[in-house]
Amino acid sequence: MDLLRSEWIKLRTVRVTYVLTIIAAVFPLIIVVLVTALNSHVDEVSGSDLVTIITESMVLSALLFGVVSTLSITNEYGNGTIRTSFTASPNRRKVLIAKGAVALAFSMAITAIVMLVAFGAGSLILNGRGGSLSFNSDTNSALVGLVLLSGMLCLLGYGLGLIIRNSAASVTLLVLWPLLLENLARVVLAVAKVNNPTMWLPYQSALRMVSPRHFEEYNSSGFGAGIPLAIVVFVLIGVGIVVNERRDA
Amino acid sequence: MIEIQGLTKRFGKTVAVDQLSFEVTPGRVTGFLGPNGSGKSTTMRCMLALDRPDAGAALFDGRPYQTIKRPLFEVGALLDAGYVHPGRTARNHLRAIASSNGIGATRINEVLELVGLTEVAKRRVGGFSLGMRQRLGLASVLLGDPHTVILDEPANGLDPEGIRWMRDVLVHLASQGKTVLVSSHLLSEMALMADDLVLIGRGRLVETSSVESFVAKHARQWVRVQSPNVDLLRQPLVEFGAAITVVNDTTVEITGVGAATIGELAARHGVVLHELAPQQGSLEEAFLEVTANSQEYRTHSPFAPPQVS
Repeated sequence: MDLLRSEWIKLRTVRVTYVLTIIAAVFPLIIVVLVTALNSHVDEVSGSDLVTIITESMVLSALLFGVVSTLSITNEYGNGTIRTSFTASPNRRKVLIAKGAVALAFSMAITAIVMLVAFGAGSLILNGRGGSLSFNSDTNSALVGLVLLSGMLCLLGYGLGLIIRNSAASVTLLVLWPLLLENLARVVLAVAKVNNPTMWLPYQSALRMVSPRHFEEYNSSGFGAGIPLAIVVFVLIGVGIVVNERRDA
Repeated sequence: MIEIQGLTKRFGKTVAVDQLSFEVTPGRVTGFLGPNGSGKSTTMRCMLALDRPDAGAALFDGRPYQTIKRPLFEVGALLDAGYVHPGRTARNHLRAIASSNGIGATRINEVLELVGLTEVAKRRVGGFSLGMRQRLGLASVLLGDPHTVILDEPANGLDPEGIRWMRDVLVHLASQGKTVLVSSHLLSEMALMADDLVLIGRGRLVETSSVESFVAKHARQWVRVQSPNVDLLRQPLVEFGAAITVVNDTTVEITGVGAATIGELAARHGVVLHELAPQQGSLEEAFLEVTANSQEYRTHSPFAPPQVS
């Protein structure tokens, strides 16, 4: 508990956490408010459409929470404070798990809060303009999927930071992974005529968890699309912890 | 009590610390000395389980550091005052460290007061001078009121008042029965502060002793004699086996013969003495003498004064 408290203090007492969290929170809210307020065919907007707007705009937020968690570990190495941390708590595994757990809880909690605010604001605006929204288990699953995706991207960034230990390199890889590397891999897999290439692309597979249509297709059992990314994340963190336990701090 | 037993640390083919063994006793300030690159900081990192030694062990009251559950209550260490997040305030820096060992806000306020940083506790550390960071580092060391204190170059960046303050703090801690190990390049400061010395060179133990006996053993000792007719003493002194270095027309420095003998010779030959003063070299001189063959990086300085023969 002491370690969790310590890591929570570390996370919330640096400016970059606030800046990135504000961007991650405000950006999707602006998108949702603008789209719902300016849409000229309110009667055609469904609950599924609103959830899709929220989840797709919040994928960027989830990526930003990944950056926050990456910096929570790489900044410690950059500033040398990891030595202070390990001196105060020599059990490195506990320190690193506590740090990851705090970052995970933070990103999932903020994602859930922002998502609910965006959902409430979007519903209010659309209903106020004469729309009629209905939600079902598929839209609800997509919203839960968004929180899960946010947690996974947070841990992906943390795992990369644990292994690479350098802020610029870790953040670059975290951002390029979903935006560039998996798209390149998709092209390669397509050329190689691999069946169901998304199965081999952890991020793109996990992205299906935030789509209500995906849950319609899989009859609410579609969280399995996140399994490849979850495996990658846990392998990265496992390797990162082992490496950090063995390396000199 | 700190016990270092056969500590060895290699970086590739370089042996940074080589079979190092020594003890640091409670109630005394122990200076940890060695030329640049001699392995002092590596030894300290190995002691605190930050670097993994290839062999040997460092024990605190018989236990390795990594087995201590709440180390801040037992060992306080400051390896580098720069290990801070520049965007975090001094108080939050201490809170993050303290909370990991269950130390509360009251003690944080106490240590801030002890190191004189209460007024700047809400300022970001990025705006601190090196001296202020050293004080903040010492505050983190004192958080758990540990019985062992390890400091690497704590006087770096401190002004003369700050250096004196740091010295007083460390001497006070030792007087309370705590074990204090401190490395420093400021040998004049170490001479004032340390009771014992551990001297290493190229990762190996060179010598361990009290400061007093180290200086007595390795520093030059001579007698300064001033007289209007000092030339009359020259012949009798040489017959006694003394070596004489002329400083000026009335002053000589004599080695190989004690002050009492010189005084008796002067009386016997009717020589008036204006000064008869036994002299001893400094800790710095003794250090340079002992580490002459252990310097990793050295040059013959064109600025050094010419040797008198």
